[in-house]
This record gives sequence, C-alpha cells and structure tokens, in this order.
Amino acid sequence: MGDHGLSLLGALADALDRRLGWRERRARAIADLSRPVPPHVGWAYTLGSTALALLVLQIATGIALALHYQPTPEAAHASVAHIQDRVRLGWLVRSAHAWGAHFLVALLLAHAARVFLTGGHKKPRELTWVLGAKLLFITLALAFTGQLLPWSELSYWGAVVGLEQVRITPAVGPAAGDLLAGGPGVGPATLTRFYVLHILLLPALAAALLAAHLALVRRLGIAPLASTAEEDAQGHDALCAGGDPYVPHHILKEAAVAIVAAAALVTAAALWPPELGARAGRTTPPGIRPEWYFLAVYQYLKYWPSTIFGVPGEKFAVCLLIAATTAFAALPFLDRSPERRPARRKLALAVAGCFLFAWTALTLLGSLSENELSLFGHHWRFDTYGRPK
Amino acid sequence: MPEPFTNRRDFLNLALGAWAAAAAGGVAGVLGASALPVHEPPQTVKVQKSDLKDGIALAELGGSPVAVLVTPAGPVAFSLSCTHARCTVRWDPAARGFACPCHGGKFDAEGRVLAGPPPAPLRRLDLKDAGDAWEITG
Amino acid sequence: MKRLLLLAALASTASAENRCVDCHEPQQKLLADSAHLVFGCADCHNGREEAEDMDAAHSPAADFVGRPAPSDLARMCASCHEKETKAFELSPHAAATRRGDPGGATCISCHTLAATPTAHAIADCGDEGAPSGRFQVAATCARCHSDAEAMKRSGLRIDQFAQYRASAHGYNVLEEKEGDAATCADCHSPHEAPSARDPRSETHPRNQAHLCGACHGDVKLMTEHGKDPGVVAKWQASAHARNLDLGAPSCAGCHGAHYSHVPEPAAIRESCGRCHEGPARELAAGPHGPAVHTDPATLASAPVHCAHCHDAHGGAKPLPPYGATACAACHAADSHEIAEGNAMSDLSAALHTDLVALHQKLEEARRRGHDLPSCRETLSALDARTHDFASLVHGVSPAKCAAEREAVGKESKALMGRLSEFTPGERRLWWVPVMWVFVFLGVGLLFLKARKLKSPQGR
Repeated sequence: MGDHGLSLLGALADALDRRLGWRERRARAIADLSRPVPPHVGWAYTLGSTALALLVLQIATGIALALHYQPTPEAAHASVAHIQDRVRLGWLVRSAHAWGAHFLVALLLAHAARVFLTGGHKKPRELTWVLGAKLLFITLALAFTGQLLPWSELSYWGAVVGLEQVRITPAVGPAAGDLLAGGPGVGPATLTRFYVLHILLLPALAAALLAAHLALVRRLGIAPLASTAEEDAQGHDALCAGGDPYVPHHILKEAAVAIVAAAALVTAAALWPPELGARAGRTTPPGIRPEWYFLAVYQYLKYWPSTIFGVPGEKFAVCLLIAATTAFAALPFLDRSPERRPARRKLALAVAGCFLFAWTALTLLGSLSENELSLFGHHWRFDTYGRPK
Repeated sequence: MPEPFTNRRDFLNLALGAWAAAAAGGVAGVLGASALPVHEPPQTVKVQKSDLKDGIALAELGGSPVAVLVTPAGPVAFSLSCTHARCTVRWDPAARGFACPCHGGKFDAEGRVLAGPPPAPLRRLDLKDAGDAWEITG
Repeated sequence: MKRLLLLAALASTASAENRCVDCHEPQQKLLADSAHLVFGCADCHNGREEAEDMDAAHSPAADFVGRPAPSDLARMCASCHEKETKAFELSPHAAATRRGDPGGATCISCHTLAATPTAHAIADCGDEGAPSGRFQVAATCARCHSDAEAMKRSGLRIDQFAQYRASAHGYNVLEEKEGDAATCADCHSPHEAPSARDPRSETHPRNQAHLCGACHGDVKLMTEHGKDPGVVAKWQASAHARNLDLGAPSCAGCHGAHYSHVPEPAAIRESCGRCHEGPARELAAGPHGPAVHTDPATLASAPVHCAHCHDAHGGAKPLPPYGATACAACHAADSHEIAEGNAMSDLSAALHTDLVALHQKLEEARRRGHDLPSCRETLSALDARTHDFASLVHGVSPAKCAAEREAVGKESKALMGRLSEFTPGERRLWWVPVMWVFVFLGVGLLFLKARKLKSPQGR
C-alpha cells in the first residue's frame, strides 16, 4: 500500500513536473535562497521576517474575526461583544488580532531602525526602502481603520478626531476626508468604507508591495557592511564570502525569533485582553487618546497656535508632518553618503538620534497629558501639554 | 527516494517537521474552534392569543418561523421549517394541513407527514399558557 | 465723605429763616427731635420756606409737594441712604408699590417712631422705641402681615405673627424682652426682605443652616442657654443636607419657620413619616407601635419614636449591629430583643453586600459592551426590595425579615448567575506556560539543527 501510494504520488509529481517544470524551479529557488548573506548578518536581521510571520498570523486571526463581525453601526458593537463572550476562544482571537497591531508596528519600526543603522537603504537598495516605508504607512492605516470597527466609544471618537486631522491637510484634505468618511461625520458609510479598506484594499495593496519588497531583497541581497563604492567595485558576492547561506542557516534564526515573538503575542493576548468598552454614543467620553504609535503626532499637533498669519496653525503642522513622512520614505535620496558603517556616519546618526529623541519625548508627553501618575509616593496630574499641574 | 531515518540529522528534520505541524495544528485549532457556530440557549417568544387567524398564529423564534395551531385537543406549537430542506411550510385552512412550497411535502394538523419527501414530522415546541398569550420555547 | 459735605450744606440752609413753622409747628418739632434735625422743610417738600404767603410757599411753580408719593420716598432717602434703598428696591415691598398696591411698605412704614406715626419722627432700629427696634419690629411687620385685607392683595398668609408669638423665639422677645432670641429682621434681611422661595434669601432651605447656625451653632451662646451647639454641624453632615434637592428638610422643615419649636415627641413619627412613609408604617404596625418610652430623667412619657434610634439632626442609620447600638438603649444587654436586633442587622448587611456585588457585576458587563436591559430591570427591582427591607426592619419582626432576605437572596443569586455568563471571571490560562514549554522545545530543535549545520559533517 505504502509503495503503491508513494509511486502514485511520484507519478503525479512527474506528471505535474512535465507540465509546470516545478522541479527545476524549486532547484533554482533553493540555489538562489542558499546564496550566502554577508558575514556580519546576525540576530538583528530577523526583524523583517518576524514581522512577515506576524502579518500572516494577523491575516489568519482577521479572517476568523470576519466570520462573526457585522459592519453596520447597529450590529458592529454587539457582534464584537458576541465574539468576546460567546464565540469559542473568540476573546483570544480578537485579543491576538488587537495585540498583533502593536507587535507589528513595533517590529516594523525596529526593522526600519536596523536598516537605517546598517545603511541598508543606500544604493542600490533605495527602492526596497521606499517600498518598506510604504508598508509601514499601510500598517498604520490598517491599525487606524481596524480601530473603528468595534464601534465602541473610544474607537468611534478616535476615528472622528483622526479624520479631522486628514481634513485639515491643505488642498486634498477635505476631499480625502469625504472620500474616507463617506459623509460629513463618522457614520454608517464610514464604517463600511473603513471595513473595505481594512479587509480588502489595504491588505491587497500591502500584499503587492510586500511581494515587490521581498523580490527586491532577494534580487539585491542583504547590504554588506561596506561603502556603496566598495560594493560597486568588488561586487555583492565577493563581500558575502565567508557568510552563512540564507537557507538553511540564517532562516533558522529568523524562525526562532518569529516563534518567540508569536508566543509573546499570544501570551500578551491571553493575559491582557483589550476591553470592548461601551457602544459609541453622542457624547465624547473623557480620555480619548490615540494608540501609542500615534501619540507623538497627537501631542505635536497640540503645540501649534490656533492661527498663524490668519491661517489655522494646524495646516502648517500637517504640512510639516507630511514633509517629514515624505522625507522618511525618501530617506535614501536625502542620506546620500556612500558609507554604511555606523561609525563613519556620525552626522546622519546624530540627526536620526535627534528625531528619535523628539519622537520619544512627544510620545511620553502625549501619554502623560491630561493623565495622572503616582511615582515614589508623589501624585502628579498633568495638563494638556504634559506639564505637571 | 527518501533515505531511511538512520542518522541524527534525519531525526532532527522529522522532529522539526512534527513540531511545525503541531504548532500549525494548534493555531488552526484555535481559529477553527472560533469559526464554529455558537449554540444559542433556548429562546422564548410570546404569541398573543388575539393574533389567531384561521385557527393559527404565526411568530418568529430565533430567526425561524413558528406557529401556534389551535386543535380540538388544545393549542400546539410547531416549527414551520420543513424537515426535508428547511423551506417554510404554509398552513392551508381548507385542508387543515401544512404544505411545503419547495418539494411538495404535506403535513397534517398534528405535524405528521402525509406526502412528499420530508423524512420526519414537523418539530413540536414547548408551549406555555400565559393568560392572554402563549409562550413558545425552543 | 459725600454725606458729610451734604450735611454741612444742609446745616447752613437750615439756619435761614423758615416760615413753615408758623403753621406746621408740630411737624417741625418732631423733625427737630429726630436724627433728621439738620433738614429743612423744602429738602423734602420743595416750595419756598421763606415765603410769608401760604400760597407762595406752597407754589406749584416751586415744585411744592405736600405728601411725597410712596414711589418717590425711596428716591429721596437714597440721596443719603444709598445702600439701604438699593436693597429696598429689590424687595417685594418695593415691587408691591410698583404694582400700584397702596399698602406696599415704604421707608417711613418702619422708620418713624411708633408713638408718633407721622413721617417726621424718623428713627432707625437702634432707637429703643422705634417701630423697627428689636422688641417692636414684630408688631410693626404684623401691622400689615396680619391684615387679611392687605395680604390678600399679595396672596400672602397672615398667621406668621401669631405663630411667631407662640414660638420660643417670639415668647423670649415679646414677653421676656430677651435680646438674644431671633426676631423678624434677624432672619428676613430688613430692607431686601426676600421671599423664602428666593434662592438668594437667607431663609431659603439651602441657606437655613447658615442662618440658624449663626446663633444655634454659636458654642458660647448655646451653652449659656443650655442648648446643644452641635446640631447644625450634624445636620450639615447628614443625608438630609445632601438631598435638599429631593425635598429633604433643612431646619424649618422639622422645626417650623415662624413657630420654631422642638417637635413634640408624639409628633415626631408623623413628621418623619411624611417622607419616610415605609418605616413609619412598619413601626406603627410592629411591637414598637403602641410602646411608650418614659424618660428616666424627666419621667416624661412618649411613644417610641424615630429619634430614639436615629440621631435627630444627623438622621443616620444606627451602626450595625443594631442590637448593640440601638436596641440596647432600652432593652437589657442579655435580652432576646438585642439578639434579634443584631440578627436583623446581619440580614440587612448581607442584602447590601449582595446588591453591591450585583451592581459591580452589571457594571463590568456594561464595560465589556453588554447592555442588559432585562438584568438592569431585575436589579432595580432588587434595589427597591432592599430599600423596602430597611422599612421592614422597623417592624422588628425577625421572622418576616429573614423570609424577605431569603426571597431577595434567591433572586440575587439567579441574577448573579445570569450576569456571570457575560462576565467570564478568571480566564483559564494553564495553557500559557505549556505553550512556552512547547516554544522552547521548538527553539531548542532549531538550535540543534543550526549546530548540526555548523559541524563538519553538516557542511
């Protein structure tokens, strides 16, 4: 039976090979994936693929949630409550999906930082960086659109405030806001639009960009820790001499990190499931603040005066923000020195350090603003600008 | 042809494969469990006695059509889903029976199959008299 | 300063020759004896003082006014008494005059000497014999406020003076000439005299504690009169003070306003029972209904009433266990009444514990996104029954209380069961460590695989 079965399977494989030529393709793919990575590549180079693994998990939990979720303002909140309490392990699936957003954003930020530190964005891998930056923005958009779907107080008012920030963008803002919201406020049309964006358009876009991103990574290889001039002169393969092959050596490290990250995600999801909160109503509850990855922007917008030369100050703020995100996406074209070794890129690292410091400080101020903190027996309350009262 | 698992490397590959299969199975198990439908506890609906028309009062219980039929032996509650393919059967006051519009199934006033493909009588539901209304549970 | 200058100017005119006295000597005498001695006749009546001819003196061309209109009086007084007239203009008295009520009080209604009721003998409340003086003012107010005809025009009652005269305040002021006791103007600010319905008024229920507290919270004064100065503070800390908006009584609610008195022990049950209807009903129906309590000190007997267990001003429930805190006041320490009181106290506490837990559970479910109208309804019914249980305790029937506690407890338990479906307690998390063991097993396998790859045979 076994032999017969195996030979039947073999015959099927042969038949398919004659039609698809998969054996040769597989051999070529394995040969390609087995090319060595540069010798310095280690644990820090596992973040991108870990994010990929969690993205797959996110898609799986997302599909499981979509089986029960109903995208109308009347039913949305009740359907999520149903998932929380009646669906078998529904609370765990929903919690893992919510925590997945946090993990994914954190991993992508860390991945971008690692690439920047080791000069991976430089010639000839500019396009890889641009695609990666777009993937980060899409992830943030997925997080923002997904947050509205439970139609709870916090999610609803988060979307209201977020859409207003879109609307104040000069020129395209009002139109973009209307297109996203499907009306003047956040209503049934907004929910269906966010739903379509969250489960259809953004994932499809992300899949396409991700495919291009990964194809470029395979085509160009991991950047060696050498200047672009050296890479041009000696060739990528020569600089990878002495490195481990990607498959199977490096991929084992990636698998180990991905497994631990996934387990950490499930643990967080099990121990701290997010509360659903009350269904959205007419009144805004106190304590509306964005998720941690938007806190810096939220806080940054507060410091602008309401008008500058008769123009709403937020317009300037948003323009500056758009300029900054564009600069982030176009980083390879701004940071043009040929050097990749961090020690020889003091200026670029100093500038990046300043940005990181500002971002961290704004995030901290944002989390403290209109909040309370007990530390060392003292109790502080903070005003909207994050100053102690 | 795969070699027999004689050395340690092959054992390691097997163990890793088994581990991966178990992990994937665990994730699939959780997601699959969540995909299963939730069994709702029995629900109750009140049918006003004043809703009676031609000796029958229609209502909806948990999204399915139900009815209270007044027979000489007293009121009886039925699920109106045909036991063949779940189409909703209709009460025919002239014939004093239920008829299914899909495949010609016929039931009498007791819910017994008279004709057609239905394999079982109409499902009876618990009925409680509550003054000017009946409470159907099922 | 302005006033002094004015007085100086007036003094100079007064010395000029005044021919009014030729005919109006009595009036001039009254004026000269009053605080207004510096004024000349023309200061209020215009006309020409120095004219010998009566017609010239009374000439309309010189704006002569015989009797100033009531509406003009306040304006005339205001040139010196600005603050008082401003307050007066806000008063119901001034409003009555503006409405055209001929009886509306004006300045001179109160500020002339009682014995000489004409406008010229002006006097203020500091004047012992003045109508606004401490011991006369009640009678002065009563002149109008006890006059049915006059009060009919404003729709006011006329029994305040009669009530006041019967009260402890009134007796002390009117009969004993006791300066410490309150009189009309002590409570009703005399010039503005606002209605008690006016929230700005001192006599409004919101402000009564402050008003009465001025004397009844004064330790020295109350000690002198042998009264407890703590009552106002006790009331301010009470549930009554917190629930004024719901109609809870402040001082006058129990003690009366004009007939202010210590409620008769026999009337207390009825008085509290007007709002606390359930407890009063149960108390009357229970063994304490006909029971009479004799004060061992005064030997005065009265039905058992609310203040025997509840502090009269604080109003709070006796602390549990009731047997020890409330019943022990009359019943012997080893009596079965004490034990029964304690038992009822325990039942009540158990009911409240259940109720608090149910509210927390419902709130938890709400936070988790479950709006449960039927559970909310059941819980408010249980709220009401627990509230009624407090009434039941007043009937001091331990058997009835125990039966009710059991019935409510059963329903609480059923509701708790239903709510628990929506608020899963501790998640079963035993699998989390198991998962980590499994994860480390996988990572270990990967590590072994990597080592194998690095080893010479692996390559």
